[in-house]
Amino acid sequence: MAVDLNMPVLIVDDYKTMLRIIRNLLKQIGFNNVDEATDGKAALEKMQQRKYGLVISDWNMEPMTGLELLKEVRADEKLRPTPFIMITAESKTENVIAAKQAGVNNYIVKPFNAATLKTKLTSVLGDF
Amino acid sequence: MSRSVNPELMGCLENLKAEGDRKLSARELAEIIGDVASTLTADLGPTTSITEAPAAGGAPDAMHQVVAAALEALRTIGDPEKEDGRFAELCSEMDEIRSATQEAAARFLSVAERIEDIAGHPDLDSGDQSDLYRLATDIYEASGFQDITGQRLTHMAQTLKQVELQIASAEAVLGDKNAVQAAETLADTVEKTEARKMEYILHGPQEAGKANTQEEIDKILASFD
Repeated sequence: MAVDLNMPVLIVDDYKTMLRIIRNLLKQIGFNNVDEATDGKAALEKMQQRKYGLVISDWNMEPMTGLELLKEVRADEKLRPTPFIMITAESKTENVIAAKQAGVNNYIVKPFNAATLKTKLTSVLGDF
Repeated sequence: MSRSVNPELMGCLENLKAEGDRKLSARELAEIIGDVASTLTADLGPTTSITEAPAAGGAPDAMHQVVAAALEALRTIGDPEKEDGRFAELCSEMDEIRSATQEAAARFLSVAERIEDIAGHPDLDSGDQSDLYRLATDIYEASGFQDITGQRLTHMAQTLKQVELQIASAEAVLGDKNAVQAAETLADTVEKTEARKMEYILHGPQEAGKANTQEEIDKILASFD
C-alpha cells in the first residue's frame, strides 16, 4: 500500500535551522502536513493531542531528549505504534544500541543528505 | 625529604583502584585534585605566594614547583572578577559565532526556498526545473553545518566550565575563601551536566573519521533483526 503523503508528521529539534531543513526535504518528497516541536516534552504534548503518522526526532535536547521522548512514546499504549526515526549527531555505537533497544524504527546520523532521509522513510513507511 | 600525605586521600585512591573502571563524577575528581594540591602545599600558609615559598626542608622541590607554576598559570586564565564566570567573555564570543552561523544558515535556506518557488513555475523547462530542485536540495543539505557547529560550541562551553571548576578548586585549596563558594556552585553545575550526559550517553558530534558512518549504523541496526 502506498504511503499517505497527507498524514501528519511531527519533526522535533531544538535547532530552528534543522527543523526548516527537514521540513523542506519532506516537502520535496511530498509530505505537506508537517508539524514541529523544539524538545521532547513539547512533542509529547502535541502527540497527546493529535495522532501523527511519523515522528522524526533529534536526540540532544532539553528539557526532554529524543531518547526520553522515544521511551515515553513506547510506554504509552496509544502512542506506541507511531513510527519513530532518530536524526542525530550522536553516532557512537552505544547510542545506536540504546535507541534500538528503546524501540526506534530507524536512525539517521547528522550530517545527512536527502537521499538517506528518503531511503529511511521508505524503510519505515513503505514505498511512496 | 618527607611530606605528609593525607590519609583520607590515600584511602580514597585505594578504594577507587578496587572499584575498577567506574567513571568519576566532576565533584569526586575536583575533591581528589584538591586533596593532592593540599598535600603538595601542606607546608604553605594560605596567604603565601606558592611560587615564592620554599618547599619542605628548605630545598627546592621539582614537583612542587611544577604544580605551583601550573596553578599560578591557571589562576591567570580568563577574568576572575566577572560575575558570570571567568570565561564569560569567551562564552559570549561563542554565542556570537552561534548567532552568526544561524543567521547565515537562515539566509541560505531562504535562497533555497526561493529557488524552489522559481522551479515550480509552469513555463520552466523540466530539465531546468530538475536542476533547480537539485540545487535547492544541495543548499538544504549544506545548511546542516549550523547544527553541528552549534553542538560543538555547546561542548566547548561545557569544557570551559570544567576548567573553571578546576581553577576554583585550586584557588580554594590555596586559601581563597571566595573560590570555595564558586567551586561548590561550579561543581553542582558540572556534575549535573555530566550526570545527564552519563544517563543519556550523550557525546555530541564525533571527530571526522572516528564517528560511525551511516553504513556502520545501518549494520548495527540490522544486527538486531
